[in-house]
Formats: sequence, structure tokens, C-alpha cells
Amino acid sequence: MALLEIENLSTGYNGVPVVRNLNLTVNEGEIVALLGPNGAGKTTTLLTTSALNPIISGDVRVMGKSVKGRRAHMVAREGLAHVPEDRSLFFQLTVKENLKLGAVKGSANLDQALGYFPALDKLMDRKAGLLSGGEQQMLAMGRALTTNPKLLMVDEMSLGLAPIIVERLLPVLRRIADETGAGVLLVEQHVHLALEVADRAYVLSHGTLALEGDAKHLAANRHLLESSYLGGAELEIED
Amino acid sequence: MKVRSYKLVASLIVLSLGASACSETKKAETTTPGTTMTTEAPSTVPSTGETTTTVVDAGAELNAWALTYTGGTAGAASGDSIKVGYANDENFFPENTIGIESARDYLNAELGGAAGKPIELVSCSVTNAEDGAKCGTQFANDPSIVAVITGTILVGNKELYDTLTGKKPVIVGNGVTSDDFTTPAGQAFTAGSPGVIAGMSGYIVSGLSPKPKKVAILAQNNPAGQAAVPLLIDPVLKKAGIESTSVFIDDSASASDVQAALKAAGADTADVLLPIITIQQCINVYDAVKSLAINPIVVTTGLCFGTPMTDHLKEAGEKGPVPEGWYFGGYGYSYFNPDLESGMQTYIAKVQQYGKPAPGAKTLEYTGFAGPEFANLMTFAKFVNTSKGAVDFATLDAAIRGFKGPMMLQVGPLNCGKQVILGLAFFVSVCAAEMGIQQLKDGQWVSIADGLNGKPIDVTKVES
Amino acid sequence: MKGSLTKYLQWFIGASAIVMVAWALIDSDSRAHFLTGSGLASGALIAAISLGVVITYRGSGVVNFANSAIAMYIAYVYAVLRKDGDLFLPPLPNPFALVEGIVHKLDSTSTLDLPDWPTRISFGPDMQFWPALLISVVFALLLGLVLHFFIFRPLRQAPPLAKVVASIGLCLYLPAVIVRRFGIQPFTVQSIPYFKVDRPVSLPLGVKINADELVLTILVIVLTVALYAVFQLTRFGLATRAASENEKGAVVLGFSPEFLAGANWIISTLITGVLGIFAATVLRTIDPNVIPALIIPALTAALVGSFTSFGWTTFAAMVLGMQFGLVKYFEAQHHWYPKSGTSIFPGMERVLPLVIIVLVLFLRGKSLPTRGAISSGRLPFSPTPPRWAIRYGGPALALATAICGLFIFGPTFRLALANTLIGIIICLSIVVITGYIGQISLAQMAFAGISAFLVAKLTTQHNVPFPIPIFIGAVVAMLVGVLVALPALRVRGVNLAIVTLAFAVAVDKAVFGNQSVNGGFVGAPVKVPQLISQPRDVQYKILGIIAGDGKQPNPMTAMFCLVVVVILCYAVANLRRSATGRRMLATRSNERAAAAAGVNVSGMKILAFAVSAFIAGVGGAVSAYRFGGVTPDKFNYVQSLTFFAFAYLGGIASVYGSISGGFLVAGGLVFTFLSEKLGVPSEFTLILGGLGLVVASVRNPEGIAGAVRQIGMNVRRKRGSREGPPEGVAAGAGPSPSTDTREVGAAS
Repeated sequence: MALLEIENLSTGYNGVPVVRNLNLTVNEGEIVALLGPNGAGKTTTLLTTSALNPIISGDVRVMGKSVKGRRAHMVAREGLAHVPEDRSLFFQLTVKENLKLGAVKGSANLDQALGYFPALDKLMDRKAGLLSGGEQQMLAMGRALTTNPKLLMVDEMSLGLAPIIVERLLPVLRRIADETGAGVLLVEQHVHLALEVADRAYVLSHGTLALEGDAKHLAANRHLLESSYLGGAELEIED
Repeated sequence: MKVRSYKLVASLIVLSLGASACSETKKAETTTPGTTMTTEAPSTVPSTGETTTTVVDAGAELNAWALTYTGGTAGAASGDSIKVGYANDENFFPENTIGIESARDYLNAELGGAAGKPIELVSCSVTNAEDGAKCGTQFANDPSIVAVITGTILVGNKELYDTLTGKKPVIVGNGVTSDDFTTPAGQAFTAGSPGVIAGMSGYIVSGLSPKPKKVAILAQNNPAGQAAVPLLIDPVLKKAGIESTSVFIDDSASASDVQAALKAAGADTADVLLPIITIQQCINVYDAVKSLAINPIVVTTGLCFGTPMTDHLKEAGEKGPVPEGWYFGGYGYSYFNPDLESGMQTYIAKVQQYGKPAPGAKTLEYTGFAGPEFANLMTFAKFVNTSKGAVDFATLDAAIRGFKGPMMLQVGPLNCGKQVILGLAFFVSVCAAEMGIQQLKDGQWVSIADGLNGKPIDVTKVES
Repeated sequence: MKGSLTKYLQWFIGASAIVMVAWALIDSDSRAHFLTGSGLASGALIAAISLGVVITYRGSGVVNFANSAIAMYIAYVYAVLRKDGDLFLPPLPNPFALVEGIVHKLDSTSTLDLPDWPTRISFGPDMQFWPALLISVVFALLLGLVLHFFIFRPLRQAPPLAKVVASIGLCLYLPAVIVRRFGIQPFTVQSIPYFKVDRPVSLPLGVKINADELVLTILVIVLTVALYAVFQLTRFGLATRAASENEKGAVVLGFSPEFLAGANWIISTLITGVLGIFAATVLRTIDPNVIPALIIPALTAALVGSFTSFGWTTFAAMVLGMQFGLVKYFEAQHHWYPKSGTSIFPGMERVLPLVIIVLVLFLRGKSLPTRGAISSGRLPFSPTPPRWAIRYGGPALALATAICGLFIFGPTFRLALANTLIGIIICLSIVVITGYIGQISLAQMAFAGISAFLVAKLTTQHNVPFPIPIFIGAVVAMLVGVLVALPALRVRGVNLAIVTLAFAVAVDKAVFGNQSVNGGFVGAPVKVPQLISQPRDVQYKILGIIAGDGKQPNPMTAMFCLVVVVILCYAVANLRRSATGRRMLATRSNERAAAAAGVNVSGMKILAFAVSAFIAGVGGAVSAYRFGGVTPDKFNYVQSLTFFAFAYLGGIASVYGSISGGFLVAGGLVFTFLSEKLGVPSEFTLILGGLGLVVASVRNPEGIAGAVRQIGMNVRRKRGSREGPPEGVAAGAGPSPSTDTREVGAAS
């Protein structure tokens, strides 16, 4: 069973579709990259998957259950962890408190989070708003991990981060996928970094799926990516 | 939050008819009136007075008084009714309606109505300024209404009077706002708040011995309250060399606020405490006096009367209808020690016979505003009887403005339109110039200076 | 340079505040009046309300203006249970009553009397303390559930305006129910059997306090600490704090903001209810006035605590309670206290909360925390007045009104017409400030009243001829409006509502309550030109037809109001159509985007306040001429709230909406029709009005005008039947997920 099945999805805002007829799957233990230029509809797709945005047509199934008409927080409890584009951290709360909120019932799996992001350990009592960009991203992802997710969605992890930090964080995703068996859907602008850790990739352009395929294959064929970003026209590639 | 906030004056209502305990001369003659005719014992009447002497004739005696006062003929009224407009704030002061409606029923049933015809009340409730204009317009435009009697209105008074001036004869009822006392539209046959407050000041100055040195005043924080203190109280006290401190509170002040206000007014070192406030605040003053463990002489108004006060005192373990030892300024007669001459006995008997409790209330409130309102309708009937049924504007208006008294339930003669109180001539609608002070002492009502002991206070003689 | 000046000023104000409080405690004279048992009790009363306000805000983002009304209501439930053994019920809708009414109308001799809901459920002759407390607590719980499920959960995505309106509706409705059931006479509260200690308890520092006051104070402090612990340490509290800062973050973790909001509502009503019961015991008697009035200082205290900190809120509440005695002491004893004429300057203890609010805002330097909601919903749509309405519709309506007012209406409806017209003017001022530029102002009647009292003085003391006083009054009101606009620049949304409400209360007490303004015993009459003087029963000949029916009121009064209304409606409609109007709307929907597009946001806000205050001033002046006098009750803060309600019900963002609003005002055409033709008693107006507000805010934020327009749109859509985005997208601006301009998470 696929962790995430997006089937002919059209979604948008106030009835105006921003994404049209998207098909996408994420399986256990794999990292799927969702690429595309700004405004392509990547974030919208994630929001719709989390049931934070209504579906216009088509379906999204998380863990086999459709999210149509369901409440967002209930979908999250099924094992879906969404790290939004703005990270949605609780700046007034400390790192520890942010992490503790991972569990709605019972206790949050702090050990798992700290295991992957040991740097958070000495920041436990610091207010989240006072962390650096990289630390905040670690906290956001660590917080997602405390929920023992089966499906982890990360939106623009590299936003505002120095490449060197991104390079350090991305392999953690690989470890998470390999060690916990979680599926990861990674929305990214930094194509080459994303393709380094991903298994497969989809490219969204102007709301429609422009390209999909094996990550290594796509990494080797840059011109495919470029043309899909720009909507089909082949460019003069300077080697 | 809405309803009380636009109460302009609550405190200056002086309607109290404090009670007098039997003075020595009266003791032998007092009867407990009406006990033969009441259907339910009112909760606020303490058992005072002596036992009844002759009860069987009480009814006839009371009717005789009423017939003499109104000049009517015994028996039921019949024929086309005479319509009287009645404007009152039913939400806040349903007691007025108790008074006027029982008077109407009594007049129509036993006193021949007005010149033989039954009196019909056309009621209109005024709860805001728009209502004032609406009721007034309605009355003014209706040719079949011959006069208008007002009850107690908090807002919309001016609008009401503006529409009626020169159009309909007006008897001002239990006025509480400045407009009620200064309007040229009609006359009020009581001393009103100006008279009672000025009289209380006069009493403090000349009636207490030893003469007090310091007076703490607590008044409502509204235009009439703010005006009353510097116009009706301070000048009198200052002339007598008495130090006075005044503090103003909103009608939404809590019990703790009242205590703080009293302290601020120096109540703990004052000889006399003069609160001019609503019943709610009066209850708070009582509690504050106890909390502060002070023992001043308290002179206040009959606004403190009512079931809430009695209930509260019962909670506190006291028995009386009002706190022990307090002095009350009023119109000179006593609900709790009713006499015949002023019409009090007649009133007490008949209001209980004909009166119905206000909607939603369990008890019949008749020791407050109901009395003067009852008296107003009786007096109206008197005018119509005197004019032998002539009810045109000129006749009735002249009768109202020319009424010299004596007014039922009010002590002293009337001097309509020419009243000067403490040198102030703008209280043109206030007719009576005398008032009374009574005290609840050792559970008995004592006439300090009122119509019952023949020594009412003449407000026009108070110096400022 | 400006920045450092502000900084120094802030330091100066902060330091002065500390010095004043310190001095109040050190100077033994002042301390005797500041640090008192009654002061603590007053403070505890305020804290009792403000705690619930903070809980509700933290849990659901709603500033509950009705919390004191809730406290009053539960207190009544308890008191009536104890004294009478009855649980009283609010007026419940009874369809039989309608049937009865119709039957009576058709046949006036009919004695049809169909069953009605009981007003009380009796449990016995009276009740002991514990059972009464238990039942009251259960009632409070149910009340919280009802409030959450039926009102505030549907409103979660609604703009702050709708939530303000809903809670205002509640705070009008609940006291109206009490008045209907019990009148306004004080209701005695049985004392709690364990505290019959008469002698006050002595505390350190020479403070004497009654036993029940002490219990309330201790209870408040204990609850403050407990709430702090819950919110800091428990997961529930943590989740609430998280959700209030960033809802999306909470949702993706699996927390339901609805559940958190609901749970917090219930906790809030429970705590408010219990504290209300103990407060009632301290007050000894309750009425529909004292407890509800506590909302203003309670909101002030909550504002000092940023609607977040229980500790600071309770502290501020205590200080506010204690300052009362001190201010009264200064008022009574000190000669340096400001005077007006011969008597003291009234209402200083009400001005103080306003000063505190403004100071706090100034010290904070930026707007207070708003919630990081996922979406804050659309504001009511503000349509451009179509050309046909301006060219033909307006004049037609004006002509129709003139004909009705002159020839057709009888006296009662002529009065109602004048009330409606003045109502339209006030609603117009609200449309400009709230509908066009999105600032919630609850002080419009304060501006109107300032103008009205000025008109009274100008006509009587200075003999300024008509109509010049109207302009002068409006201009002065406008200047005051600009003054109010300045702190408004720093403040947004509900915070501004609170500031303007505090301003309205302060003006109400300190200005309108001031003898030199309201004239004391003499009052504030207005010299009115004969032609428009209302209490005249004259007839006129217009074009050969007789106008008026020879009865009061003078039809020309309503015509005068009509002329003013027409002028103002056109002015406001043209404002909406102009570039300035578009800039205002841009500011309303997104201040940052508007600023980026070159709109002078601060300038727009000041302009809007000025214009709306000017219009309100005209309304006040017209009212003064119409009634021939000015009294404070017409312009107090409750009137501001009620007119705001009517404006909202009518439609707060369009001229047409203000016309509808005017129809709905108390004494206006609709209510008069209901009471005259259908016999609905006027005491139901508040009950119906309050409920109507709540319902309207939940179901139809665009009011009647919006509903009518929706019908029109549906008709047109059926005819046209095109595909395409709904009209709302263009003007309403759907939420964009990650660029939401509210402070989502970002510490700004």
C-alpha cells in the first residue's frame, strides 16, 4: 500500500484551481522530491494533502484513506507529519515545549527527534524564536519526528538556509527514510541537492505535472528538468 | 449593562415617606388600618403601632375621608369614561402603576370616578428618549385625553414635556430628573427631590444636637446628583459653618467601591453621613458602615425602602424594614405609621385592596412611589369634581397650577409656580415646600419633624 | 530622531507610572485609601471577569466583551436557586405566541390562550449552598458549550469584526433577559453559610477586609496561579498556547484548534461563573447593572496583561480596583483636584483605565499580539455604488421618503422616520470607519455627543444662528476624531475596539457627566428654528397639497433630517467611488500590501477617523436640533455599542447598508412597525436585537444589505449563467497560505 496516493488531483483557492490533474505516489522508505518553479502549486499540493485546503476534484489518499472532507488534525493523527513552508514553529515556546507537543496523547518521542538532530539537545530551554535559521529547521523537522510519522512532508526545507546547512540536513532525511521506513515527500527549489537524496522526483509547472522519473536519471539529464520548468521549450544548453 | 447606564438620576428620588413611631400623644389612638381588608400582608410593613380599637367602621371612615378629599359622590362611576394619559417607565418603576391603577379602581368603584364618570388610564411606557417623544405625541394628538399624569421616567422626560407643554394639562408624578423639577409643562404636588434634599440639609443644620461639625455626603454621579450637592446641600452646611465632604459614585459602583467612597468622604470621622443614592447603594452603605465600624448619624431618603433592603437586613440578622437609627427625609407622613388626615390610612387600605403586584414580582410594593401616584389620581378626580365635569385644557390647567393644597400624603401648603428653594427659582414645577424627617428607633418609627408631630420642615425657610 | 524621542517618552511614562504607584504605597495618607480591603475586593471583582477574558482569548482568539454579562447571569442563576429554589429560563421562542397574536389581531374579543414555556423550573422553596453551587456550575458548563458550538466555533474563520459583534450581541442580550425576568431592582444574594463573620479580618499593613471579600481575593489569586500552571505545564495548556500562536503548526501536529477553543470556552465560563457567584456574595445584592459594568476595567486589565499573562492581568485588575478609593479621596479632600465650575470633575476613575490603555500601548510601542490564524476570513464586501443607484435610485428613495413623511405618515411613523434618518447618519459614520477602512470604532456616539452638547451651548449661550452650529459641532467632533486616530495607528482589530470603548466610557463620564457640559439642573436645551421645531402641530401647503395632519410632530423636522441624510449619503457614496475610497479599501484588506502600493496608510486611517467623526458630529447636531435639547443618555457608550450593532445588521460596508441599519434602530421604522402593527412589546427589542446580532454575525456577516445583494446576484447569475470565479474573489482576497499577513509565527 502506498503511503500517499494523489489521483487526478485538482486543487486551488476559492474554487480556482492552481493544481490540475496531478498524479503522485509516495511509498514506504522512499524519498520523493516535488520540484518546480515558484507558483507551480507545490505548497498547495502539500496543504491539500494535509486537508488544510479543500479538494476541487480528484482524490488524495493518505495511508489508504481519502482525506476528502476530513479534518486536518485527524489526518495528522494518522501518521502524517507536515513541516510547512514557514515551519510553523511556536516561537514563544521553548525547543523542549515544541518537541513535547508531538504527541496528542501519551508522550512525544523526543528521543527519536534528538537522535536525528542531536544539536537540539543543548538548545532545549531556548525559545524557538531565538534560534538560528538552521536550528529552526532542525526543530521543525525534529518536532515532526516526535509524532512517529509514517509519512513526512517537508516544504522548502532549504528556504533561507545556507547551502552548507542544507547539505547537512538532507542526508538526515535519507537516514529517516531508511531507518524508520517512513516515506518522505520533499518539496524543494534546490534541484540538485534534492535529487541527491531522493529516489524519485516529480516536476510541477504551472499547476500540471511536467515530468516524473527516477531521481538519478533526472539528475543526469539536466535539460529535461530545465525544459520542464520552463514549460516545454528546449533551451540551448551550454555545456 | 445597558439598562442602568442611562439612568440620569436615581438618587434624587425622594419619595420616602419615612415612618414615625407613635409619638406619646398619638399612642392611644393609633389603629392598624386595613387589616380587615387586606388579602395579603405586605412584607415591608413591620408590626408597629398599637392594637386596633374599632375595626368594623374603618372602611366607612376611610371612604369618608376620600369623599371629602375628592368631593365625589359615593358609589360606582358610570357612563363615558374620562381618559387620562399615564406615562411611566414600566421597567424600572412599576410601583407607580400599582399606585395609580389602584386609585383608578377605587375611584371608579366607590367614589363615583370623576364627576360621576369612570376614569380610564391610557398608559404609555417610556424607556428611552424616542419613547418620550412617542408617548407625548400620542397624548398630545389625542383629543379625548384630558390630562396627563407622569410616573417616574429616567430618560425622555424632556421630549415628553416638550410635546405636552401648552397642549395638555400635566401632573408631574414622582420626578427624578432635572427636567421633572424645572419643566413648565405641569406641576408636581410634592416637595420633590429639591425640597426633600434641601429640607434634610436644613434639618442637619438646625435639628440635630449637638450640632454636627462634619458631614460626609455620598451622591450619585449624574447631572442631578452633581447639581444637587453644590446647590441644595453645600450652601446650607457652609452657612452654618459645618464642614462637608462629598464623593460621587456611579450607580454601577460595587459594595467595595461604596466603602472606599465613604472612606474617601471621611465618613469615619464625620458626625453625619448624608447618602443620596439608590436602594442598591443604600444597602451597600449599610454594609460599609458596619465594615468600617463607624457610628455616624445617617440621614437619607426613602429610596432606601423596599423589599431588597428588608431582605438584606433579614440576611444580616436585623428585623426592621430599614436600618436601625437611621433618619429618613420624606414628604411628611409615614407608611409605617399611617394617619387618617393625610389620607395615609385610606391609601394603605385601598392600595392593598385594589393593587396587583407588578408582573413577575411576588410582593406588592407600596411603600415607595405608589403612594404619591395614588394621590395624584385622587387629586385629579378632585379637580374634575370641583369643576363639575369641565375637562377642557384651560380649566384643568388652571386647577393644576392653582392648587393650594392640602395634598394627599404631602405635608404643608402648595405654592405652585412661585416656589423659591434656597434662593433658586428654577424649580418651577415643584409645589410643596415642606417635608418631614422620621427615624426608626428601637424598632419604632419616631416623628422627628413631620406632619404627624406638627413640626414639618419648611424648606423655604432653610438658609443658605 | 523621532525614534529616540519616542523611546525617551516611553521611559519617562514608565518611570512616572512606577513612581506614582510607589508613592501611593509609601505616603501613609494615600496608602490608607489605596491599600484597603475594599480596594482588594474591588480588584478581585475586576479580576474575576478579566481572568475569563484572558482564558477565552488564549483559547480561541475571541475577546469576549460579554464575559461580565456571563458572570452576572450565572450569579443570578445561583442567587435565584438559593433564594427561591427556582431555575429561571430565558424567554424561549414560542410559535404559539405568534398564533395567538394573529388570532387576537383578527378578532380582538378572542380569549385564545395557548400554552407557553415556563419561566422557571422549581426545585423547592429554596436551596442550600452546595446544591445551588453545583447546579450553577453545571449551567455555566452548558453555557460555555452553547457559546462555543453555536456561536464562536462557526465564527472561527470569521474576521475579528464578526467576533466583536457576536460578543456585543451577547452582552446586550443577557442583561435584557435578566431585566425581563427580574426587573432592575436589586436581588438579594444569600450569604454563604461558612462566612457569617461580621467583624473584618485584619491583614498586615493595616488592611482590614471582610471575610467574604478575603475569600474572593484568595480565590482569584489561587486561580491565577492555577491557570498559570495549567497553561505553562500541562499539555493542554501548551497546546492552547501553541494554537494561539500558530494554528497551522498545531493542526499539523494533530491538535484540533476547535477542541482547544471549546475546552477553553468551557473553562472560561466555569471560572467566570464560580467567581461570579462569589462576587455576588461579596456584593450582597445583584442587579443587571453592577457586574456587567465591570467589563471595561476587566478589558483594561487584560490589555495590560496582553491578553496572555494571568499574573499581569490580575495585578492590573487589583491596581484598578484599588485606585478607585484613592481617586475618590483626592476628589473629596484635595483642593488641587480638577474642578468644573463649583463641583468636582467627575468620572476620573473612569478616565484612568483609558489613560492606562493608551500608556500601555505607547510603552509597548507596537500593536498587541494578534493571533496566528490559518485564515482570518473575509471582511464584509464593500460594493461600489452603481451609477444607477446614484443617478436614479437615490433621488427616487429621497423623494419617496419625502412624500411619505409629508403626506402619508401619521404621527407615530413621522417620529419613527426622524429616528431612522438620524440612525442612518450614525450608521454612515460607522460605515466609513469600519466598513471602508476596517477600523473597529465603538465610540461614534461619543463624537456625536460632543458635537451635540457644543450645539446646545452655541445656540443658547452664543446665539449662533442655524445652521452654523451644525458645522462647528461636526468640525470639533472631527478634531476629536483625529485625536483618537493617533493611538489607533498603533493598534489594530479588537484592540482598537477596546481602546475606543474605553474612550467612549471616559467621555461619557468625564465630559457628558460634567456639569458645565450638561447644564446640571438646567439641562442643555437647544434653540431650534420654528420651521423645524418638532413639537409643533402645523400644516403646510406644498404645491397646493396640504402636508402634515395638524398633529405633532412637525413634518418639517423629518424633512430637515432627510436633507442632511441625502447630502451625507451622496458624499459617502462618492467617497467610496473615488480613489481615496479605493485606497481605504486597500488599507482595509491588507495594510502592508497597500503601503507597498504607495498608499499612505497612516494618512488614510486618520482621514477615515476624521470623516467618520465629522459625520457622527453632524448626526449629533441634527439630533440636538430635532429633540430641542441634549441629554447624556442619548450619547453614552451603550448607545455606541447599539448603533454599531445596527450598522452591522444593516450592512457595515455600504451606504445601502447604513440605510438598512437606520431602519433597524430603536424607535426606527422597523421597530415601530413591529410594535404598532404587530404588537411586539418594546422590551423585547433588546432581547431580539441582541440575539439578532449574534445570529447575523454567524450566518451573514454582510448584514441585510449583503443578503439583498446576494439575492440580486443569484438572480443575475441565473439569467447570465457564466462560469467563472465568484465575485467575492476579486474584492475579498482569498487567503494565501504562506504569505498570510497576520503575524503568523513571526515575532514582528
